[in-house]
Amino acid sequence: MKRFDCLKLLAPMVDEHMLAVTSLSTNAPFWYNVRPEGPNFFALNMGLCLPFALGLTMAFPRRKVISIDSDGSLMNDSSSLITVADVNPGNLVAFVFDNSSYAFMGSTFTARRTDLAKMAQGAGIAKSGTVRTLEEFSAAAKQAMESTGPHFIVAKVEPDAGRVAADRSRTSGRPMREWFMDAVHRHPDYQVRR
Amino acid sequence: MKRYDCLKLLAPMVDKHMFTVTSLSSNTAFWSSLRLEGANFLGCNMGLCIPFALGLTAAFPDRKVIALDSDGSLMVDTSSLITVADVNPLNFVAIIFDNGSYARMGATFTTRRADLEKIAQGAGIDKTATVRSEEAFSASVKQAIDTAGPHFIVVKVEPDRERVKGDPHRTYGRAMREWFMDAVRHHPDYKGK
Repeated sequence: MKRFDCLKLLAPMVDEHMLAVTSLSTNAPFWYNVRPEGPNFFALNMGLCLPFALGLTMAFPRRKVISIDSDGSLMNDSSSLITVADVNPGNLVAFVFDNSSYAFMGSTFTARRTDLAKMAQGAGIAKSGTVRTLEEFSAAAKQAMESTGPHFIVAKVEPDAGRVAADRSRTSGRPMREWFMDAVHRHPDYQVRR
Repeated sequence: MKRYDCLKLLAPMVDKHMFTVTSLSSNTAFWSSLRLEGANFLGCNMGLCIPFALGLTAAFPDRKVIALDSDGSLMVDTSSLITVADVNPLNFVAIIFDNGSYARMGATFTTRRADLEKIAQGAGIDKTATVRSEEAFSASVKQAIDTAGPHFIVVKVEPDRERVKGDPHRTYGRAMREWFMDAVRHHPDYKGK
C-alpha cells in the first residue's frame, strides 16, 4: 500500500472546514497535492504533529481535526498518546503512516517489535487499529470521519519511492503559517477573544 | 499496598554487584534507606530513570540493572520503552511504582485511561506484569531477577503518606554521583581506561 494512494482516498472525505495537520517530509508535499486549500498546517517537526492537532480539536470542537503523522515522528513523543486519551477529543482523527523507516536514518522500531496501535490502546485510545490495504484504509477513514473519536489509525505503507513536488511557500516556514492563520481567521467557527 | 513495604521486600533480592537507578522523590528517599552500599544512581529527573538504567545494562551486561521508576516519571517519556524493547537487554528489570499521582500536581493519567503495562507491550516488551499485592510483587520480582529479561513490572501502590528522610550526600547532586562512580570503579566488572 502506498501513502500517496491513501491520501488521495482521504482528501475527498475532508470538507473545507475541517482542519488538517501534517508531519515533516513526505506527508507535507503529498497532502498539499491533494488538499491545497483550507486550514492546513504542514510539516510540524518530529513529535509535534499529534500535540498540535490536539490543540486544534479544543479550539474547533465542532470540526474534525485530521492529524497526518508518521511512525518516526510519533515515536519521538509517544506520551502524546496518553494526553490524547485523557483529553478524549471526539473530533480527532489521527492517522499514522507507518513506512517503518526514517527519511534518512534507516528502519524504525516498527520494523521490529513495536506496535503503535497497541501502544495507543495502552495509552487509553479505545478506537485504535491498523490497516494494511486501500480497502481497509478507506473503510476505517470513512468510519472515523463519520463517528465520534478520538480515532487512531495506523496505515502500514511501503517506503516512499518517489517524491512529489510541492510549493515550499505553502508547505513550510512563515508563508505556510500565514496561509494557515488566514484560513483560521476566515473559518466560520473562529471567535476572536477580546 | 505501600511502596516502602515493596522496597523492603526487594532489598534482600538485590546482591551487592547489581545496579539500581531511581526516579526522583519517594523512590530515592525510600531506596537510599534500604540499600546503603553498592552502585545506586538516585534521583534521576522525570523521564530519565529508564534511559539511564538502559545505558548501564549495556555497560554491565553480566549484572542485573534494576530501574525503580514511577508513573509520573515514565509518562514524561514513554518512548523510552520502545528503545528498551529494541535494545532488548536481558539483564534489565524495570519496576514502576504507580501510585496514580504526581508528588505535587494531583492525579496522573493512570487513574483514568492509561495502562502502562499495555503501553510497554505495545512498545515490544513481552515480559510485563501488573501486581497489586505484596505476594504478587515478591513473586514477580524474584522471577524477573532470576530470568532473562527485559522485565517490566507495574506495581500499583497507594499514594505515599510516610516520608523517609534520605541523606542528601547519598541521594542528591555531585556527592551522590561521586558515591555512584566510586562504586562503579570498584565493581569487579569495571574495565577502566
